[in-house]
Order: sequence, then C-alpha cells, then structure tokens
Amino acid sequence: MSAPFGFQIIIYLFLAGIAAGSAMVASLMLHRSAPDAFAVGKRSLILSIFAIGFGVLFLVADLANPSEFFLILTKANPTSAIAWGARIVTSFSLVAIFCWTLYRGKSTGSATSAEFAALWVLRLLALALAIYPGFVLMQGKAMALWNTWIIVPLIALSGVRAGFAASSLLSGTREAWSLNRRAGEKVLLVILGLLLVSLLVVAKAFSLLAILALLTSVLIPFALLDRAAGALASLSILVGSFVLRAWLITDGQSLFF
Amino acid sequence: MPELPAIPWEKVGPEHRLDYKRAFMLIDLNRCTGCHSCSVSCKTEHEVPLGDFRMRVRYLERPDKATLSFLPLVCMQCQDAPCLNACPTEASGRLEDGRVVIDDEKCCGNKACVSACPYGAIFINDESNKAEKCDFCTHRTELGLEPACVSSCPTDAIRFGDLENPDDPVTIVAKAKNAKAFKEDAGTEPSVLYVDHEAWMEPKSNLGVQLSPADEDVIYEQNNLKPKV
Repeated sequence: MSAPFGFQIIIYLFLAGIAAGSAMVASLMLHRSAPDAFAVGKRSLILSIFAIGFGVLFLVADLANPSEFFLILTKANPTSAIAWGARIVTSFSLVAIFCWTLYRGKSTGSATSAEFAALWVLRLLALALAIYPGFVLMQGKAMALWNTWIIVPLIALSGVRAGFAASSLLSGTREAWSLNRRAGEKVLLVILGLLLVSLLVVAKAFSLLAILALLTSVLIPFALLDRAAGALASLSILVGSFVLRAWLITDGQSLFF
Repeated sequence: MPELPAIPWEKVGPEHRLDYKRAFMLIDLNRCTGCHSCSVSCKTEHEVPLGDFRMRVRYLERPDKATLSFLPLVCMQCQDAPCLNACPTEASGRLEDGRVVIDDEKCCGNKACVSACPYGAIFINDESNKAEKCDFCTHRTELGLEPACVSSCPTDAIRFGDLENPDDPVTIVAKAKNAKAFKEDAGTEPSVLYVDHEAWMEPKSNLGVQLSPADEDVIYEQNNLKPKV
C-alpha cells in the first residue's frame, strides 16, 4: 500500500499558509494611508493571489482524477473538512481578487465602508484558509501524528507566520520588517511548544525531518529575529514552514503505510 | 434414480437476496490457515489490479514466542465510518444493511477516505483512479450468494451473517465465541468481528508479511524479515 498524500500536498499546504498569512498582512495594511504600509499591503495581496492560485494547481494535480475536481464543489458532505476547504479556498480566491480590483489603481490606502468590509471578509477567510488544512489532516484517523487537535494550531500558526515572513521578504520595507518582528517571537514560541507536544504524543515521529523542522521553523528564526538579520530569519521561517509540512505529511504517513 | 441435491447456483436470483438488517462478517483466526483463498477469490471476483487488495491476509509473528498468526483484513464496514465523514463528494455511502460502499461516479480520487481509514482498507485503483474497497460483494449477496471470500474459504474461517438477527447461526457463533472488533479503540463500531484476535496483533497489522504480485518474490514488509538474496 502506498501513502495517499504526496509532494503536491506538501507544496499546497505550504502555499496555502503563505496565501493566508500574506492576505492577513494585506488586510492590515491596505487601509493605511502611509504609502510604505500601503505598498506592503498591495504586494502582499498579489503574493496571496498567486500563492493560492499555484497552490490549487498542485491540489488538483494530487487528485487521482484531476479532470473531476469539480465534484468537490458540486457535491457537499458537511462532515468533510475537504468539502469545507474547497469552499473556503474558492471564496478566499474570489474575495482576494475582488480586493485587488478595489485597490489596484490606488497609491495610498483608504477604507470606505465597502473596502473595510471587503478587507474584513478577506481577513476572516484567510483565517479559515489557515485553519482548515489542520482539520483535513485531523480526519486522517489512521495517522497518529495527524489525528490530534495539536495539528490544527500547528498548521495554522506556522502557515500564517510563513505568510508574514514572505510578505516582509517581498516588500523589504521597514514597515514590513517591523510587522514581521511584532508577529514573531510569541508565535514562534507557541509553534515550538506545539511541535514539542506533537513529538511527545507521537514519539515515533522523531526523525531527521522533525529536527530540521524544529531548527528551521523555530530555533534559527528565533535566534535571528531580533538582530539585523530579519531577511535571514524570514527565509528560515519559510524553509521551516515547508520542512514542517514535509515532516507532517511524510513521517505522519510512514508510521502507518 | 435418486434426486440429486440442489447445487448452490440453482438458488441464484434476486428473489434469494440476502436481506440483512446489519450485514457482518465473522473471521475465526483459529481456523485461518493463511492460504490466501479469500484474497485470491476476491481479486478474481472484483478484478483488483496487481499490487492492490480488497482482502488481505497478513502473516504476523508474535513478539514473545515463536508463533505465526494469519490475519485476514477487509473493510470493517464501520457503523461510525471515518471514510464516510471525510469524503467531500459523498461518494462513500451506506446501504440499508449497514455496508459502506463507494459510488464511482462521485469519486474524484481525493484520497480523503484512504487517509481516514484506521484499517488501511481503502486504496486508489490505478486503472480506474477511483477509491476502492471491500463491500461484502454486494453484487453477489443481492442474488443470494455469499461474498466470494466466504465461499472460497476452505476452513470456514470467514462467515457472513446478520448481526441484528439473534437466530442467525453466524451471530450465535459470534456471541458464543465472544467475537470482538479489530482496533476497538478507534471507536468506529466495525461490522467485521474476529474470534480470538489478540491485542498484540493490532499495531502489527499494517506491517505483517504479505504475498504481493507486484513483485516476483514474496514481499517482506516487516523489517526483521528481509528476504535473503
């Protein structure tokens, strides 16, 4: 028997996290009048749209029958996290594109009531986008590493954190670094805690990938975040987010399949 | 000339369908000899591609003494089926008699059911690209025939019955022999019960040795049973 989920799912989870995090940055920045902050918001929104777009391509490619992907949208099982996820991804993509049409021609932030509402909807959908993959994995009852509540905040926080890091790398402005730092340490500590608890609960999952995930997603960024090496810290967070997902998917399944 | 007894296939037809309230399978591990009749007949019946199995027989070594046990594994037709909850397209459904079946037309191969099943009973058919699993041979039971594995088992280790019918002979045996579900901790209320299955088998059930036609030789999945070349 072969494991059901492959590298496409790892890439999708990575990109979905970036899309969620960068959309949150966009929703925080787009209504601000400072040109720097607004520019960060705009770039983050573009990043978010591209990330979810490419992510969905990988998700569809992972299906055994990619040509029948529409079934996930036309049939709905309310108890399935994937069914909910498909609707969240679709709504998120549409709202993100809508927000882009609202702010496309502007050079400074604004927030009419319509724009304000759109940004709030984007923020909520970004939150849902960050959270739902954890529930999808949690429904994998066969996998000890997935079938626990820890997976939901672990996937969500590491994804959003990677989105913030990607936004700051893309923008490179002081505003972006400041936001990245503010979002940084406490979240990293929580991720560290969740990772360690996961390893305590499923001791068999301790592997080279787990060590790499610990190093790149938490320990290295934590050491670098407060110094003048924000870009390196962000890069490490991005690598860490990917390695973390690779660990969860690969080792999570290898314990069973 | 004396009248010959009726042969089984004379009783085939919709009027003979096995109408059960809760279809279940009873697998007696004391009787199983690991002959693979069940998995072979299952593959033949359903034209299961090479390397995949609806019915598998695991060979398990007891850790504390030299004992080899045989463990036939199928879809447990859980009453609280994780695959049913996980399937986004409602391709996994339930029949009136409790069996869980997969509707090919609705399956897009997202593999949610494969990862949800705690028994590893579902796979993606490489030819149809759809999820597939044991359904207790619905096409046979609706004509009054038993599932293929039940019919082919030479030692009557696998039997098919109605768990909600206290007069069903298989149910009576199941109760008398205190048959239990596999991985009861999973809380899925399986409809496959085992006689004399022991706790040590459960963590090893995915690692047991299995004959696989995907390779010319026996594939030893258990680390300590690597074939000597």
